[in-house]
Amino acid sequence: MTRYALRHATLYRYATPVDLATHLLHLAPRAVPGQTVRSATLAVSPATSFRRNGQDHFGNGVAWLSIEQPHDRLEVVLEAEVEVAFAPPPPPAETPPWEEVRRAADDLAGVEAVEFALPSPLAPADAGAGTYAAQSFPPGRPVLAGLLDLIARIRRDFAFRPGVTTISTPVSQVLTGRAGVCQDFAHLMIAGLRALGLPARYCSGYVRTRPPPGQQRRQGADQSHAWVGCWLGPHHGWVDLDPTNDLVVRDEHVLLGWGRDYADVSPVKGILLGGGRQALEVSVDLVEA
Amino acid sequence: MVDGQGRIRPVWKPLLGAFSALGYGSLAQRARRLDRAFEEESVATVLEASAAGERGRTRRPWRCDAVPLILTAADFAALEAGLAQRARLLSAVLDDLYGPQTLLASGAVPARLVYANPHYLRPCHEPGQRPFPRLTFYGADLVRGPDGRWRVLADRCGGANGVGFAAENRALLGRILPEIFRPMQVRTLRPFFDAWLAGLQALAPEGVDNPRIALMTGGARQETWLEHLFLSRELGLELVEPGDLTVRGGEVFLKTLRGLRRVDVILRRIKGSACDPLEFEPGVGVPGLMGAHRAGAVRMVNSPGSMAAEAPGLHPYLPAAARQLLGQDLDLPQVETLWLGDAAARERLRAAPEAWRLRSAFEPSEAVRLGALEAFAAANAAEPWRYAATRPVPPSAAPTLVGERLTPASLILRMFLARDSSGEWRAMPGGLAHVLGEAGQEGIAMPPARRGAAKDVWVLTEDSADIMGPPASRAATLAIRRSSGELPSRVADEVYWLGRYLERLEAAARLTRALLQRLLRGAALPREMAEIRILARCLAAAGVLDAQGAASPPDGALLPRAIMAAAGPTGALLQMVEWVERPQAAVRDRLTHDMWAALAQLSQEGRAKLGRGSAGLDALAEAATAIIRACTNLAGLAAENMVRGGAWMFLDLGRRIERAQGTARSIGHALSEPPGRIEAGLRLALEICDSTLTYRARYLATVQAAPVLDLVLADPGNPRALAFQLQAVADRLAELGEPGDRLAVTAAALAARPQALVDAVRTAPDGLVAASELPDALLALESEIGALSDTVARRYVSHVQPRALGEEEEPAPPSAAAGEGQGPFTR
Repeated sequence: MTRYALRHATLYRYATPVDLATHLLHLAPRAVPGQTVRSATLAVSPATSFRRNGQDHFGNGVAWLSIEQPHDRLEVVLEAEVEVAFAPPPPPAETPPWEEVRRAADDLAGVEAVEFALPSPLAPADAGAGTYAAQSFPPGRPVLAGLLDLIARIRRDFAFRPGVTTISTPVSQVLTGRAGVCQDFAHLMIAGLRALGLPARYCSGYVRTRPPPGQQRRQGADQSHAWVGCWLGPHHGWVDLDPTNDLVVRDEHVLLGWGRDYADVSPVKGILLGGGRQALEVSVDLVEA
Repeated sequence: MVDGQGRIRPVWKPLLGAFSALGYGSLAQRARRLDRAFEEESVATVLEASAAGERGRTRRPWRCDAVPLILTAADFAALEAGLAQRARLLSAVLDDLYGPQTLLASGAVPARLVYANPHYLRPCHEPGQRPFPRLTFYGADLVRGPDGRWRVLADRCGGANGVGFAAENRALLGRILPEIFRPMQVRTLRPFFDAWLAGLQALAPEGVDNPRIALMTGGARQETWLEHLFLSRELGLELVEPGDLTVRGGEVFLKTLRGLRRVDVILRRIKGSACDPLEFEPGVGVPGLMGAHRAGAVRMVNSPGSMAAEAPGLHPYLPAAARQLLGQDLDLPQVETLWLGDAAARERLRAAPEAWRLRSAFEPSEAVRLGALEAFAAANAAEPWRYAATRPVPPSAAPTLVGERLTPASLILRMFLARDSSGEWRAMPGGLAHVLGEAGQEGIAMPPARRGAAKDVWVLTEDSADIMGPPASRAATLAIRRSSGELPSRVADEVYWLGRYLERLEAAARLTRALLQRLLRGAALPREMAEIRILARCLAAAGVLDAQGAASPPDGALLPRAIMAAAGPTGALLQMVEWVERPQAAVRDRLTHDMWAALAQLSQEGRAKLGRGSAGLDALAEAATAIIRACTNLAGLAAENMVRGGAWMFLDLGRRIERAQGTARSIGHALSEPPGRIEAGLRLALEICDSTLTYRARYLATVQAAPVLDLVLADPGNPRALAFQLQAVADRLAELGEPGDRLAVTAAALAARPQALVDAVRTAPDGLVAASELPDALLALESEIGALSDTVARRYVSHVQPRALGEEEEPAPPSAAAGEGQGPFTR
């Protein structure tokens, strides 16, 4: 078990004051088997006129709030203490053939998974992504063996390069450009798995800022991170895989929540009245406590 | 109409008797009157044409057949019971799919069918119980098969449009063919709307006695707007657009001129996904509305996401859902449908593809191209879960009037149900039938996207006790109110611009007519040449003529050509007619019927007479006169028929500001002559201000500067004088604002200026010289009035577009309210 102190600060500066802002925040670490949330506070400045916490469709914690006084900056700070120790995945050879998992997704046993086998706006049914992913799934291959092969290939074939993509860059473009950031790799992998009929979900969270002793620094530290939840069938359930770092998620990640793609769990959303040009600063620290 | 032996069914006999008594010739004549009545009522077809032109397609006028569809009391009772059960079921299905999802857990409904449905809105899924029902209004499309039984073809849980049109059909049919109602007891629609309204009032949060209920429409540029207008009238609800609402502190408010007014219940008639840009599609809606709805601070019905229950793919699973959720079997049959996400269903389709019609699994009226069926036959259809297949039903026919004869035509029927205040589902004793035309020939599997003529639907009663009085309403006794300060800001904006554009058009028409009259006289005297030159200058300043045309010699061929072009099909005058049309559609619900008709007539005449192009100068003069008359007629109606409330105040404010600017500008240009020739300018100033007769009555034929300018600039009793306009502006602003309002004070100071100008001329040694020095002062005054107008617009009527966090600053999308800055004027 690893205990982390998490601090995620988001600062928006507006060139002219915003008169009225309405926000939807996906910034609450999710309590799941393997992750215990000891404490979590979400501070918003300036003062909110309305705030309500709840859960979204996927069961993630969300906060809805509004700021009804003119303001030229918005600061959202999440501070949390989280313990993580995700169970190791089953031996790959013991997982069912991937075709069986695909079938199970449409059975009653797959009722929790089938939603994530369907295309979604940022991870659509992309034929190219399907072809790319299919190379890891020859007939009859145990599903986890194929998945581990796929994240190793993504790590090898794609360059981690911030700035070449935006949130709206389509999967097809990432595939031809062979570069991007964690979101892009997650969307690419999800689109590819869905094209094969396999359920895959987008996980939003963080990876530790400093690597364990003797290892290299993880890509995607110092900012929001993303990886992929993969379904191994009704018996084994979900396993989280990080294609950006070619890692099985065990004790280096802290999970906020999941959705079909980034749009479902985007950390800070908002609609503004006024504001002019916007500037954004984000900082993330995830250190062992 | 006939039974198996070719005998006329008894239910039709009284109606056929009424038709014979009237004579089929007169019936056909009345049918044409009915068409015309709809044209008048349905927002001047002219307007629709212009709006449709922008979207590149035409809209057909609404038509209603003179022959109603008749349902016996027994038929109706069976339909009402069956549809009420279906509404209860779909309501329970929605509560389950957006709540505990037991239907998915049990397998009664496949999860893929739900999650693949674009109308399943995830932000509406919440673990707890809703404090109020999701579904309170429901419509069903039905088809009657050869066995005489009605079957459900499609469910309408999102909007169920047509209920407003159904009421309108009944009203117009009753007005134009009252005789045919007499031989039968036809149930009235009123009690249904009363029960519906009571049901909406009962939704209000606890402790709210006189709830404010708004009907939320997407605006006048949407196809369904007319339906919303009819419906808001039937139910007596405030018609609002998303831009009229704001969420503060988690509650929903209507933005009015006097501040924010809480809204308790929203009858939602826009797409659920267009409600709130924070949680659904970016760009449209009210930020935070879904949150307020979720918390129960506002009760929005039907809840966003209700369209998920319309999915045709859901049909095969409804019987099992009914057993699981209601413990009942469905009473009313539905057309046989397969959801092709299911392998067994695909097998059935493959066994007999010709027996089925492919359709979208999610959209009730969406057919699917033929190639898809072949793909299913070849078992290689991609994403088969997007499709459903329905076995078509040959629809039965009912008599329809074609020319002077009754002809059988197949039809579909839409019925409407609403929850009353006790939570019971009540069907409207009527409905909306549509003639199918050719679409019905080979059987019908889904409601067609395009429909033929509508039919009123009559429900007969054997017993007058069925005609109920209005139910006891929860509304407390209303306090007397006389102010209309609660005018939505958007409406103020639209009415203000309507006033300005009307005045702008009228002034342009007056100047144009004055010029044409002189050109038509032929060879001009030197004095007339001067007048022509001045008028051309005024027309250029008013944006009617271009500078080059206006500067051409008064006796040449260029000037007539320029004015012809300005009044032609692409000229400035027709554009001004179009400007008048823009705001009026959006404020139709604020104008009286007569004003509406007068506006429609103005549009029609303006377009007809100006659109001809090649007509001669005298035809153009006639067109200008027609426009002037229509504008004066409207001004009279506004003065006599509009309550002196918010809408009138802004209409008047717009008109007065525009006229003040126009008068100052035109007189300024008229006086821009050397003192020796200024008499022509003074005469024209009188003519432009329609004050020639008054001047003659006061001063006979002697034209002098001070008396002329007193009459057109300063006389507070002359409704065309500049001072009169400015005083009216000051008065309106004082009425709108708090005592001592800064804008009203500024306007009052401006209103004193014309007198000062006249005094300067009166006391000058040479009046003509002094008059010729006025133009600078008048044009300066015009721009001060313009500045005042900008301030007024900023305070009362400007709109800011919300945008998303992280979205780059872009030019604001053209909103319904924005005038897209046409022509030489800034809005």
